Amino acid sequence: MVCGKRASVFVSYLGDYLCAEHFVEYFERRVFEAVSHFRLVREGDRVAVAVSGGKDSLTTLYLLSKFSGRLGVEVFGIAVDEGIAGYREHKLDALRRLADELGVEVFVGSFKSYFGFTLDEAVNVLRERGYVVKPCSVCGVFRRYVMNAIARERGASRLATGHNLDDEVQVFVMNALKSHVDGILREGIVSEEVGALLVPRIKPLYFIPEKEVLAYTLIKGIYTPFVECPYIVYAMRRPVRRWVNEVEDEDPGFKYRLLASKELARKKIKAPRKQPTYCRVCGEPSANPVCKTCLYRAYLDENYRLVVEKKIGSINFARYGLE
Amino acid sequence: MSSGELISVVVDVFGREMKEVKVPANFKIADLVKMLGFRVSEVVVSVNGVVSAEEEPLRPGSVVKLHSVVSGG
Repeated sequence: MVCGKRASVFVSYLGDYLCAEHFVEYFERRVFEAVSHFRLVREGDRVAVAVSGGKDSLTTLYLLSKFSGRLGVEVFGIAVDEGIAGYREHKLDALRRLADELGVEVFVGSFKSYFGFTLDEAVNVLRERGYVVKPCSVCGVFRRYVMNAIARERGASRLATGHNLDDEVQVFVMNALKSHVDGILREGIVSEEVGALLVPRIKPLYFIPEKEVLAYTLIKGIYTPFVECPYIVYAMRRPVRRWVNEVEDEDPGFKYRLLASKELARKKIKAPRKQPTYCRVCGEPSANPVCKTCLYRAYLDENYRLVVEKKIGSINFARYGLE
Repeated sequence: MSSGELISVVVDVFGREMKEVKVPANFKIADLVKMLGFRVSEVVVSVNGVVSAEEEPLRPGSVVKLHSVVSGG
């Protein structure tokens, strides 16, 4: 408690309650300090904010736009329309409303225009083939591709996402469960620079619990409709999230301690610097000879499979766990 | 949970469902959240339209709105 006014939000980082006014002040200062301390942007940067229309990305867009003068950067939004009926259109409406208010431009790219099919159509194919790959895996790969493509086309020097503390901690736990050490080492507040084709990604909400982001949007009146992606039930994230939150309830600050474990590991073991390598089909940055975007596209779309096979010969999908 | 006096509050669950709930007079917001089967880290609560800390006691007739933290991007 700072001022004796009615408490609004418990801030586990402070171990204390704050009133609405002091919470907003604390929240904004903490985001600003993360951006400046970790040098997430440089003066003159063109910062694209990847916005889904959810609370995290809208808050990121709102705050970066608010700080843009102080930071000396230009801010605009980019959005991906995956083609998920009953979900994406509501989120995009919320986004357009906020962008209009802020006077910020938003550029939208769709799966349909980049790949020729919507996510709903892709999921129909996945279902027919017994979901050997989950909708969220395909969607995540395609989304990253489209976001990077739009950011680059629009001349962005940084790509900001709305990832918050909960996201980071959940991904850390999932990586740990899969013994995916490389994933742990590479998931930081700022991505390493790997060649000119990948716009470096930054996460201004890295230290902010998801619950505080929601409290902030409610207090500030940043509107975001409550619609959950219909495909979330297929993700492994759900049980992990439930578990982390259960422990957090019993033991406030648990999420910060998990994040600290990750950061300590990342400090001790440096991820080896990688020479940028490129997909032999599309030319985009990729750790493998064929990038995941091309692989999934070929798996989902007969015509694209022919394109890929013309360039590299026949694809053994079983090798990639896709059969 | 106390076996004493009960008060009633109106709960709005994620804007999907409104219901009247009777709770012990000494209940805090956090107790109500747990009673309804939610985790405190997964909801933000507003009382009569104002975002409120979970340690706040409930008052008779309050409209308690639960907002889900987990809404997916």
